[in-house]
Amino acid sequence: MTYDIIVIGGGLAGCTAADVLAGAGKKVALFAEGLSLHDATEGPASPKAQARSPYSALSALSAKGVTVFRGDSIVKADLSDDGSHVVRVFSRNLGDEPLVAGAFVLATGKFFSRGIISYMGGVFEPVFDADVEFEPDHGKWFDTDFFAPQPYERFGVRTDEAGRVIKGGIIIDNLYAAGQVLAGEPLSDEGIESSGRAAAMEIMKKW
Amino acid sequence: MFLENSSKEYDVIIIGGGITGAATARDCALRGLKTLLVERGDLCDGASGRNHGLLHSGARYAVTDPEGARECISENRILRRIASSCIDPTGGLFITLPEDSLEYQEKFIKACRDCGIDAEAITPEEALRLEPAVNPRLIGAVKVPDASVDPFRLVDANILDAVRHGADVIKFRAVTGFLKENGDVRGIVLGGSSIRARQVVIAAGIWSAHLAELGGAHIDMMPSKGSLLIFGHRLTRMVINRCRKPGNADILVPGDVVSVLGTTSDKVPFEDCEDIRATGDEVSLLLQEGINLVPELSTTRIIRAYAGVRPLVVADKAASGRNVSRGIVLLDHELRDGIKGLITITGGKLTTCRLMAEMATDLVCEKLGLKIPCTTAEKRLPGSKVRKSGKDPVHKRAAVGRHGSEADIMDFNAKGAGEIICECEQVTRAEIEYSVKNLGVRSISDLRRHTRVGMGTCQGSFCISRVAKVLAEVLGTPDKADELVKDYLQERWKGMSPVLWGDTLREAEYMHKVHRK
Amino acid sequence: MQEKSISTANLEQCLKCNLCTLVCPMLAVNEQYPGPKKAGPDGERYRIKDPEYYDYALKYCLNCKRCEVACPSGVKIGDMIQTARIKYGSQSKIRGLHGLRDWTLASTDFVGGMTASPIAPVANAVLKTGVAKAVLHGTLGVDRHRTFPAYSSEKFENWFRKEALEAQAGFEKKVSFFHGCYANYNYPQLGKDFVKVVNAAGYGVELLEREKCCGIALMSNGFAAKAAKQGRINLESIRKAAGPVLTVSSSCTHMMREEYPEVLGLPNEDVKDRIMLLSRWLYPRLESGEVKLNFRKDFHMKVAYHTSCHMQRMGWQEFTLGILRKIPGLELTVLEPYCCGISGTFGFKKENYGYSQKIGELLFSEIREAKAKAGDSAPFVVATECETCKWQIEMSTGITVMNPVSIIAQALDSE
Repeated sequence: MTYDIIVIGGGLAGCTAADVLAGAGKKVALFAEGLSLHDATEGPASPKAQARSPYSALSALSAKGVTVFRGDSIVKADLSDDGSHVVRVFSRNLGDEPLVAGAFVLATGKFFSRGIISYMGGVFEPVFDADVEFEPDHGKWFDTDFFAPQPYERFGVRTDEAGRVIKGGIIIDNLYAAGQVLAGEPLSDEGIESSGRAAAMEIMKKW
Repeated sequence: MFLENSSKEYDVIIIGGGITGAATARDCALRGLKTLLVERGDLCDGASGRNHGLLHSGARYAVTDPEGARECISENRILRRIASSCIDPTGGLFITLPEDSLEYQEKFIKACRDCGIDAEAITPEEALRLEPAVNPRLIGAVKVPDASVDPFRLVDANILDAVRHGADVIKFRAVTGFLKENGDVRGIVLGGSSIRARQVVIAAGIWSAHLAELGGAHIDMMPSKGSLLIFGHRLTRMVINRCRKPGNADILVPGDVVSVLGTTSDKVPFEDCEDIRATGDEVSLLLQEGINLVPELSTTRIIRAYAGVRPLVVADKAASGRNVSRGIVLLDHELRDGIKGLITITGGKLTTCRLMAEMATDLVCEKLGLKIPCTTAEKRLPGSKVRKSGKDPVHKRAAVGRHGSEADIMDFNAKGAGEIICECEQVTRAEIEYSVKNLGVRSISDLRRHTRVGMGTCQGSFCISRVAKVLAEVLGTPDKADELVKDYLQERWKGMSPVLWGDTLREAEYMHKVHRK
Repeated sequence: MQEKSISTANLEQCLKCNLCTLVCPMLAVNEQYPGPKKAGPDGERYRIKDPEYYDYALKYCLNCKRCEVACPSGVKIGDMIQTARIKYGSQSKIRGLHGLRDWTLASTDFVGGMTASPIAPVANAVLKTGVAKAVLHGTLGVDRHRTFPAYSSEKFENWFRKEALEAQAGFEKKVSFFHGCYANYNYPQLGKDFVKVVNAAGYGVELLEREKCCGIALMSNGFAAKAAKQGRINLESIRKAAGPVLTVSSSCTHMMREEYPEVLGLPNEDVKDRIMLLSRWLYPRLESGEVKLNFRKDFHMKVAYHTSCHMQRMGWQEFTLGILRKIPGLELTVLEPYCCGISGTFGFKKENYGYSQKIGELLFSEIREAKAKAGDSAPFVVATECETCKWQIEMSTGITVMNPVSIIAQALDSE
């Protein structure tokens, strides 16, 4: 299946990027493995009140022509030989069906949505094995005050100034990170949206 | 009755609301003594609430401490009967790995039998059939009558029984000194006020040393820190032990709906006891050893890490914790130090709490010139009355599982009473109301100890605000809900942060997003 | 230690975020149902401790897997609930006429085998009468609003052997066909349409050496052992078949791919990738140019595609939609993927009828709207891969529902 852009992640950042790109007439596919942290914390309080609303953002994208893959995730990626370009990706549900696009948005969030995964000895990014910034000493991952900013919130994938993901020191020229998956200061909801928009703008400049 | 203060004069005051104090208060009350128990925090706040929750069969001590082992098996049998609602008769399995020796296993079986402990060797195949999660490399296994005991409920049950037999309880007030007349102890001082009693019993775990000091006596104690890990669900049905000389991280206990792995053993200074927490190194050590018992521990979510302090009394000059006597220590300070009216009961084990209480109460009675027989071994504790079998409604089952027959006095008929407030642990409003009314709960942490509220995999992320709202309502301070949440989260964080990775870190991110606005 | 994707015990990955609770269609209409989180991972922790914690309200789970689609943690909530129902809520505890009713509804092979025969017209007529419905409603507990899907007078298998088998020999390349009960007993035309499409793609069709009902109805009615027995037979046959084993029903496909291993404990790794819906197989071949289909120039149809629950869980709707988009004259709208509420045999039981209809209402109104918008310049149909969705939507809206395979077959220019 071939698209102009494939957005990986259906949270606030991914939906914003997909919305901007689809609005610009691009053929966009979006993979949303489950609902997002934003959905979990900002969603309706009562299931009875609005059974349909957790999907409202994704439904709106579908209505705009975005192909939304609910409950599916990208599990594997083929890079060019020099490692500077994503050629195609594969999803859990679509199996060996290659998913081809000019550019990709990595908007998989942090730990909650498994955009980055931590274990006792470190942190990694599961789709591209991109470079992740984190504190090697586990004792420094947290502040003993629950309510203080937590160092773990700064962990995330490394990017260049244009938001392109870096792997093994090499910039991947058509993979743009957006939202909480980024390393650095944790983002507010507005910050997440604007990073999604920024990724879309960068993509439209180049791809 | 739960009191804030008291102007009554008592036959006996017990200091310490852990299992030893609670069991002693019960025994004293059952023998008709006018009894007061004083606890500086909440019940079960110290080592009683920070252990494995293991009802020893005595097998673990059979080789090294036969006397302790005999005490264990005899008390094990008694508690199964009188505290059935607090005990899950899981049975225990001692496994021998290739790096251990089958000769030790033989010695172990013989030692168990000499102490009157049923120990039955089974084949590795049979062990794996019973417990598919144990290390498949095992070369031998022995079944023993270990069990899982809920220490929180055991303390509660003892306190409830004491209160129902006339005892008073004052929580959240620390003893700051003793009323003294001619060098003899005549009561206690609680900050500005004092309460008179004919006998005072110190049953304050590691803090007994400090209290004895206040009373003018010296006990040479050694705080021994033990760290433990809680895994998110039950990995085994039985208690799993290593069949070797007792060491680090060689017991896995299925406690309620979780698995508890422990423990370490390290000497720590007294000043560390106030805010004891598990360290990253201890977590690593526990895991490294634990996976030899049950390999699946390496891929199971750790909900939290915590630590308690064993109140070891130094009987010799041994430097590390494990060889120091853990036997029951009953000190008659009149005989020992010339201080009339003061007794200390410490050492011992959770399993032998009733026996410790009996010994202390016998001495109290002797001092008071009374001859009243002990009945604690025969009378069932609250919650352990025989219930009519039959299906309870779904929303009541978890409460019955925790509180046994006490669940029948919870009001499940009131409007909204059956509503589940904490979903992981299925705690209903009725159970919360019961705990506030019967156990003097003030904070969510207190409530947690009595009901398991917030002890589940989410550690309160999802429902703690709802819990706080209900608790604040029941306490009559509805505006305090946010404060209750804050205190609680801070306390949970202490146990989550040392194991902050994998799903526990995912949970933390969710928790922060919800609760740190 | 504690590395990579930790927590192999799937229930541990649940963060209690309750997103599953928000999307559960049953919870929205039935407060007796505890909801996926409580019924699944929460309940499982307690059931591990003591099976006495099993809650019979788990019978309300539709097994729609919407919880799994919404879960950000990959928890197999639906499978966990199905497994619990089998392990702790066994059918042996449901006795009497409702037990017989459940058995009758579940035993698609047995009942279908008896009924899809020359006696079919009689059986269909009887099942449609008010008297029969009243009897079924009152005694067996099959809701009076339901009509059993009509049985065909000739099974697909018989037709295939008589009318199509010979022609298949002319094809060099072959695929196997798992036709399922619906195509075999109730609507052989679907099987015939499948053969037509596959033949048009240049492939011949073979039946499996032995095919039993996939067992989904048995499983959800608590007859797990019987379901597993049939599953073993099917897997054995699939192992013997060489190439792809294609299907037309999303439920059978999902059952054989996902629930055989997860719920019934039947390993299928060796063959799983070969079991797929026709569209999953056909779309990549059309894309690569290996297969070419010629469509009629005069074909006109307005199609509203309904993603069935199991289709959504498998995530394959784009394969079907991709093919439908290639058909000239076909105007496609994609419906919001709401659950229709029937959940196989669930909605046939009189105690569930009300819930089924309430759940389906979101979908029904969406369909009615789509039809109103479509106008009558061309026939309007709903397309879905699930036969029980079809019955439910047809009964509730009066609008024709077709399997996409039949739509493709109708659009083919077979000259």
